[in-house]
Amino acid sequence: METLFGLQMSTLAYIMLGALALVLVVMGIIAVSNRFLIRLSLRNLPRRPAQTVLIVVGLMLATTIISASFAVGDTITVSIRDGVVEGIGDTDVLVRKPTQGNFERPILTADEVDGIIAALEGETSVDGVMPATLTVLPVLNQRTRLTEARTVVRGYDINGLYGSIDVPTGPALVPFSVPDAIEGPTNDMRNLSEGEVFVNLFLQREIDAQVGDTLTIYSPVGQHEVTVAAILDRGGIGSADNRIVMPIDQFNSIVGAPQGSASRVDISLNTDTIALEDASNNLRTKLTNEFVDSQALNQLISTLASSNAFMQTLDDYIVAESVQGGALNASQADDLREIHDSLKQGNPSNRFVELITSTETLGLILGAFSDTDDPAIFQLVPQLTFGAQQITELQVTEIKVNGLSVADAVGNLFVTFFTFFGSFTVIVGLLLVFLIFVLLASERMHEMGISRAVGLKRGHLVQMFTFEGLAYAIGAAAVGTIVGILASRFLVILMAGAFGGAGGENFIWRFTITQWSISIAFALGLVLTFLTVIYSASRVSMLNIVVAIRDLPEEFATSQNTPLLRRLVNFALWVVGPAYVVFLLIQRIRRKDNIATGILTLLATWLVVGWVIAILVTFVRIWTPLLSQGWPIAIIGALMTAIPFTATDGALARAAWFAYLGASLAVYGTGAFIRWALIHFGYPETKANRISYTLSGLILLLLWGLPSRLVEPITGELDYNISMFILAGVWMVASAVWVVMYNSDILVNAISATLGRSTRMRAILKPAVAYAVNNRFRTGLTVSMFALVIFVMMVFSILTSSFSALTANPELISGGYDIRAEVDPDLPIDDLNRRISEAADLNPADFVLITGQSDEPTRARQVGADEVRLLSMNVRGSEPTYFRNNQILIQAADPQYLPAGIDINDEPAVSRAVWDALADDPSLAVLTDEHFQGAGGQFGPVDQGLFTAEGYTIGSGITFPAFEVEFIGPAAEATGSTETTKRTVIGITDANADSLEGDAVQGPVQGFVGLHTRNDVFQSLIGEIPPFTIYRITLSDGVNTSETVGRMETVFIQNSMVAVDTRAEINTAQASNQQFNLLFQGFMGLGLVVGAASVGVLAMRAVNERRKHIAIMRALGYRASMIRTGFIIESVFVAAVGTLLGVILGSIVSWSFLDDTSDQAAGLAFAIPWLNVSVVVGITIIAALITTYVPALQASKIYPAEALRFE
Amino acid sequence: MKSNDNAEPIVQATNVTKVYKSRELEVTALDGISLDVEKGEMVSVMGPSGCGKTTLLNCLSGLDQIDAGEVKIGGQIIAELSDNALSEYRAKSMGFIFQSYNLLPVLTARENVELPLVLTGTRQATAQKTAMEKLDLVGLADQAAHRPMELSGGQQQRVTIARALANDPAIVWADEPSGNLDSKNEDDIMGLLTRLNKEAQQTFIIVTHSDHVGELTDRTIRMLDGHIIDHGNGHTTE
Repeated sequence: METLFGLQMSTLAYIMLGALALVLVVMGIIAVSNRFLIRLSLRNLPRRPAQTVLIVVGLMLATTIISASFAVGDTITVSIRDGVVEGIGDTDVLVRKPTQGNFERPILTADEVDGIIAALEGETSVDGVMPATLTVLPVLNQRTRLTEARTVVRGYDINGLYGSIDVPTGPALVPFSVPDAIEGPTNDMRNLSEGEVFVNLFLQREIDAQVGDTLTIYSPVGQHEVTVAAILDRGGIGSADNRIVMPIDQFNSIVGAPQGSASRVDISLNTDTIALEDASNNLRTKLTNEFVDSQALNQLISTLASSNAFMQTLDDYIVAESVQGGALNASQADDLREIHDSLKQGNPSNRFVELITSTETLGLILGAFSDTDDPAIFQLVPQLTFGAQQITELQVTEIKVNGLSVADAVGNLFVTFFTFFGSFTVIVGLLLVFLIFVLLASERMHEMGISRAVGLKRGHLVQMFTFEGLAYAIGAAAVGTIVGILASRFLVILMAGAFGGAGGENFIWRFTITQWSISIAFALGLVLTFLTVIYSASRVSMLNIVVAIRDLPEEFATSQNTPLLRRLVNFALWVVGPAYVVFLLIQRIRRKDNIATGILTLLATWLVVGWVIAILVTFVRIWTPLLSQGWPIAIIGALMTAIPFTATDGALARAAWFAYLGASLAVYGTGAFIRWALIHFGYPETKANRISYTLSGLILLLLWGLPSRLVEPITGELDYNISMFILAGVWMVASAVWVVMYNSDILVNAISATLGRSTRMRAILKPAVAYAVNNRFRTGLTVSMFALVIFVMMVFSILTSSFSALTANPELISGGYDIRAEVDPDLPIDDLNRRISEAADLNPADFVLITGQSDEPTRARQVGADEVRLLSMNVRGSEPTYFRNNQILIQAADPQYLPAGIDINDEPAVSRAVWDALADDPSLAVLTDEHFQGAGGQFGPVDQGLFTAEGYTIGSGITFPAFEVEFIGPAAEATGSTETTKRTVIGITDANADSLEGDAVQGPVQGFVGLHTRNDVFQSLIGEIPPFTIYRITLSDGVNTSETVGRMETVFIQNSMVAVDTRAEINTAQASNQQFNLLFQGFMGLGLVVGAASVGVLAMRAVNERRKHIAIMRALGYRASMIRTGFIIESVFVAAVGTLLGVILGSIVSWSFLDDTSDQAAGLAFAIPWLNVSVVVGITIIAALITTYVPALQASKIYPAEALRFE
Repeated sequence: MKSNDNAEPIVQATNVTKVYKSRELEVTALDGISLDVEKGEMVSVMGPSGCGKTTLLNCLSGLDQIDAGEVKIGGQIIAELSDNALSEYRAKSMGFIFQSYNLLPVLTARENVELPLVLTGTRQATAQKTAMEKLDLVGLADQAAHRPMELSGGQQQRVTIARALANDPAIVWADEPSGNLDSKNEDDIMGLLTRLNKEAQQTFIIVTHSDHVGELTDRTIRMLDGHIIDHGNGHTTE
């Protein structure tokens, strides 16, 4: 990983290590100035080694999660980066012709190749230049009869490959790397005879090739037989696809290209990867300017500069949007200013050329005109986009930099995913830290009370606890980092299993964790733990001395409020801030009291953060007595709730998370107010607590659990994002725990009534459960930990399972066709039905229906929309029979185009009607949902260049007004034509439609995104109806699909056919999802370790705390086994309540989510995976049993007289 | 004194020795003690702090193990009982009253009294009824739903007594039952114990510092440095 949260990893590491250093320095200085305290606090560490170990285990878990997330991210990043480097080989920059027409790229003539080589004159950063060419063709191994429909056939210029090409006054070139021959006499291409080729390892596996085998390559110009001279290992020109490599001359003969031509020139740079970005960028700028079509450039400049409307609008836009909060950042504003000024002066700089040919800058310019209605500008837009394409004769691509940045982006996506969900476990881990310190304090309450009584200050107690906590935290962060790395190794193994199919067998997982990740994980874990320790310590220090000394219950402690005047003075003094600290320091110096602390406080205050925090804390403290009355919180909450509904723009406008957060605070505040009022009017505190917490808890559960379908009719439309999930989890768990803990007597009675039928069991159950529910705070905290972790696991598991429900309805993805077959557009099949009837290996009776489709890329815009730019949209033209039989569902439609009397809520009927309408009327179309706002949710694809329809947001209803979309093919656009083709969009496909479709050549699964219409569309779009490239096939009942698929691929090898058994494809995808679910559960399972550790800590503490109670129970006649069972039941009870809450709340949230998305993605049936849930619950309970067993055993071994002797 | 020459003593201790050992220290808490307590007797054990009174009570009642000698309760050598059998015996036949009450704080007064009943397999309804009767006996029926911390020291000790008597045990062991109470509460508690002793013929063995408590019992055993120096029945051990 190079970046995290937008910051360089190294920068982040420095920040975290700086924070860590600050913590250590501050603590070190305090330690030196007060050695007695540090001795006192550190003495506790060896006192109970088992407890110390348990605490360290508990504290380390937050760090473990962080370090595991980073290690997974690093591994993915490095694995993909290595894959990219391996796939690209030594090539850093590519020079090719720009794409034209149907995304085809013309070849470079021999003169153009020479021109490129000449342009590299004097380029010292270049250390390799190689004309090369490639194409994808079907290949047959004649010996084994095995085929590979999509073999990458590559030709390399021998001189370029071996560094002997002649670059004028250029640097000394070195050879491109060629991998070793793992079979065969040589890997040197110079030794190949005519008709000999190298086959790489991956193709060798596919077609079982051996040295000496004859391969048939089917090219558009005929069949060619070649002999395998050697099998090359992976890497360099061996790469990671199924590949045949040969000298370029031989390649040109096979594909019928002129000798000396190439499809690209590969350039290698002699820099390491750190300087690569600069070096390749410089080369790109130089070459881009070198190959400018001056005529096209001048024409574009003259067209744009002569339009006053264009120049004025651009200028106004730069001025208006460069301000703070405007649409342009400083760099974007500079870029636009450069373009404006260059146009104005009529003298284009190199930078102008670079900018105007960059897609990003073009997008910025077009953004400036998105609001204008000026017809002059409207006409100028296609001229601008087309003209910009025409400027460059050759396209220079920083192929390695681009590939590596994609690798980093994917790596970061995974880190974000794991850290996001891991944040639940981190929260749980920090709760455990807090719990541990609460228990430690409770254990030492007596001695702390005495210490306070003899004169120790509150600050001293904080320092003692903090020192002790820091010692634990350092150990825990170190162990946690290591355990996280080990855990991530396991996760990577799971992940390799989950993505083996998707990533391809050729992908190598390289387990990696960088020094930066280790540093950040260690420092972040330590600092987070430390902050929690400080908070816990300050809470602990507020003990009541008498209560502590006499071991009285907390209820006897009367809270004392600092007088209002004092609170106001404190606030005022902190506002003065640094001056106040200087004053304190002078006082300390006068008193000769702890000067070091004074100096450090001063330092911290100058760091502003400390100062601001102190101001905030003292400010809140002014209101604390009022806040405890609840009503101020309720008012603040209500005001917060109103903001998203009143704000017209900005991040909070219609922000659901903020509205829900405000509403939750309002409910909580109201509950607290009711509690205060009841107590104020003499109601018993226990009853007041029960009423207020139960009431607010239930309302909050309802608030967060309701699907937006039920909320939005009241609130209006809200924007939901992923932070809602975290908030929902935390609030729902907290609310449910309140409700349960404040109604625990009902629970106890219910359990006693059901499980306590035998008197012995009743004797065990009664006190066990009573102890758990009476220690409300610590039990509630532990229950919350379990509930939070199980909540996340449940949501993920249910969603995976619900998506798996699609396997029962594969037609929702595949349209109901058994086979999807794709052929190479250059090697089309003239008549598939006829060819099948002629093929010896295929039985025509097996085929019930064959229907064809083909795709064309276009650029599109919505007629009459605000957005005037033409943006990317694929058009898929299909035979009417495709629509007649297609079973893909339509999530929203325009009722005007539906037959009269149809029930708009009957999705299958509406879908059928829409597809029939398309079959009947060539002017109608259906768009996939990716072309609308709100598609894909938070993790959905964000493609700025994709055409996006206006006037409808995905999920906002099942009807929308039909609209016209106009589009133009790249070939027509290249001629400067502005003539568009129009279709009326009457429906939107379901999110699952064709979602497993891959790209043409072994690409990732991405699904079809675009416009469905009849294939008549191509007549106006490209002037002809092209042959079909995609076939949808339905087989007769009982025909074996996978066998048919295999036979079809062999029969149509010359057409490079790739056929897919759609049902098997869906099953494979679902299996991969399940595997990922397992991986995720493994990761979240670390959180269960936290829960299990916490019940262990609780049990250990309980044994110490209850020695006398245990003794008296033994004296009353309890057997040792009954004591042991009681402790185990107590822990299992806590774990079980937490688990149950997690299961219930996770199910509610999943149901709510699925309810909201079911309109857009049919087939998502809410399904609880009971087996999976049972395993998770079982493991949780067993883990709780394991951690409790030792303390329980200790408890049962307490000899009554021994424990009573110390009473 | 309720001695019956024909009946076997309910508690018989012979040459009981108990030594506390730590790494560096060995303290002989009981040094070859022998004593008998008759059924229905109310005996107090007195002596200065550290003389071994509580240790004697723990060893005789089976709460602690002895290092030498023999203890018989109702004719049964308790060292021969398994831990489970001893637990069961305690539940059915013994009651304990401690100086610091030792009620389970998470249970109500009634639930505390119910515990020994539940342990001996009494049905829930019967257990609840009996617990209420015992609380009524000690004058706390109206406080049955209160938790220990909601009761005064004297009230808590009454609940402890009710709990000790729940199963109508043959022997009630009391370790400083009035140690934490003022004189009025001490009188009340001792009045209650002597009344129960007389009415139910239960055996009471009470460890105490209080001469006043000693005077209320049938006889007082006096201890010094792990030895019995006076059996209170005319026998004196040097």
